[in-house]
Amino acid sequence: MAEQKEEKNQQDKTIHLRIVSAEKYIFSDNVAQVNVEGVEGGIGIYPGHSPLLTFINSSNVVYVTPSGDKRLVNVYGGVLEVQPKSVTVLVDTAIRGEDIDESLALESKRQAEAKLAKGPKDQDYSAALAELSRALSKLHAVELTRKFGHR
Amino acid sequence: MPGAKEVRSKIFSVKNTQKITSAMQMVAASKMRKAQERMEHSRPYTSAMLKLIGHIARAHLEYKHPYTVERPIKNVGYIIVSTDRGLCGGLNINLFKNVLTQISEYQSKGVESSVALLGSKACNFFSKFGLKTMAHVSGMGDDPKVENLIGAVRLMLQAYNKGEIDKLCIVYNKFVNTMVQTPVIEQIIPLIPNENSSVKDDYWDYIYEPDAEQLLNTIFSRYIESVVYQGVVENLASEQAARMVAMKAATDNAERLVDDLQLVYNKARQAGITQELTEIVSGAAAV
Repeated sequence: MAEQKEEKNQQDKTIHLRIVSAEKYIFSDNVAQVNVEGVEGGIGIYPGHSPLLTFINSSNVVYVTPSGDKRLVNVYGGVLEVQPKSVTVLVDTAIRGEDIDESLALESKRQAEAKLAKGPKDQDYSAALAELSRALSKLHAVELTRKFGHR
Repeated sequence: MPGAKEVRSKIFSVKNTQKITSAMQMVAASKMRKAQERMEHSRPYTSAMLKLIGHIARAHLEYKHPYTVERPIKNVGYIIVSTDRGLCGGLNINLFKNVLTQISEYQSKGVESSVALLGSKACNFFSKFGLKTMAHVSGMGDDPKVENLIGAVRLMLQAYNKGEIDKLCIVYNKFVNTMVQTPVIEQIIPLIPNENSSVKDDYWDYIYEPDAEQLLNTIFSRYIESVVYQGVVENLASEQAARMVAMKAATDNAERLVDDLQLVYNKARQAGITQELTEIVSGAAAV
């Protein structure tokens, strides 16, 4: 009986996080906590959160495993659905913090900045702006992953 | 008994055909592997999307989107996915028969049907039946793009919004494994609530950021895109698998035919030799 209760407690303390990109399953497991940047600002999700739907542009999904380990997945373009027992992140592209190529991100940041320097009249201005925010978010992801001690 | 020469030319022609079918088998096998990969890549996204849609269909939404409201059914729309090329066994015909059965069932209840056809085989087949064809797309190739499909799908959605159709289904061959492809008819809209899910059927609604209409519209259009795309790639993998199996059967049949013909040829040849011998011997006896 006590064991069952223990197990139930354990279940109450975790929430199922699922991150799916257009190409594959990135992550699917129980976690203790999830932090996401939605379009309207940061959201911290604990088990038992009310149902919520929001857009995601480019963001880092930071999750804490039940053992207290912090990890993150860098995602781009999609939606986030929260149910009391599950979180679903459906995005166009997603990459784990550990797998990001830092030099590639720096390079694309430089290119985007060079395009932006031409001024707002340039045709790919908005594309370059999006590119820059994407590169910056990746670099931020690299930094955070390093802080969590996974690089 | 045919002469040895005719039999030999027949063997030659069967062997030529066999070469073609075995080449087609190998091409289909390699294409199938690619198509299967493509299908498996997009499967998780689609299934996660279906789960999400199942949740949304269970919620009591403050914003009543037309896709979530069930109307009395007077007209059903079908998106029928078929192949562009033939020589793939009974794949298309089985699928079409399934749809026709359902259409005639509906017809007996006074429900009309309209179709959107993807793939030239469906275009050829359904033009004979006088169904209302809303759109058709052919020549999708081996790597279908969402952009090519979306026009036809959008027409169906517009018809749904205008009330011309009250239910939209997608019809395609689901790839189970290389030997088995099952024709399926799946309802796209109105959305079907997720039966076996942990989400309770209570009176709850989402918190929306920024707002319900914008979010739901985006999610629904993504949902429909991914379901249709998944149907098309599954059908493509099924096509290649079916073609591979059909061509393997054809190659085996040709092999058997060649064996039989070889026997006939040998007999004819032997009969010829015997005849010549008899002629020579009887000629010698006469001298």
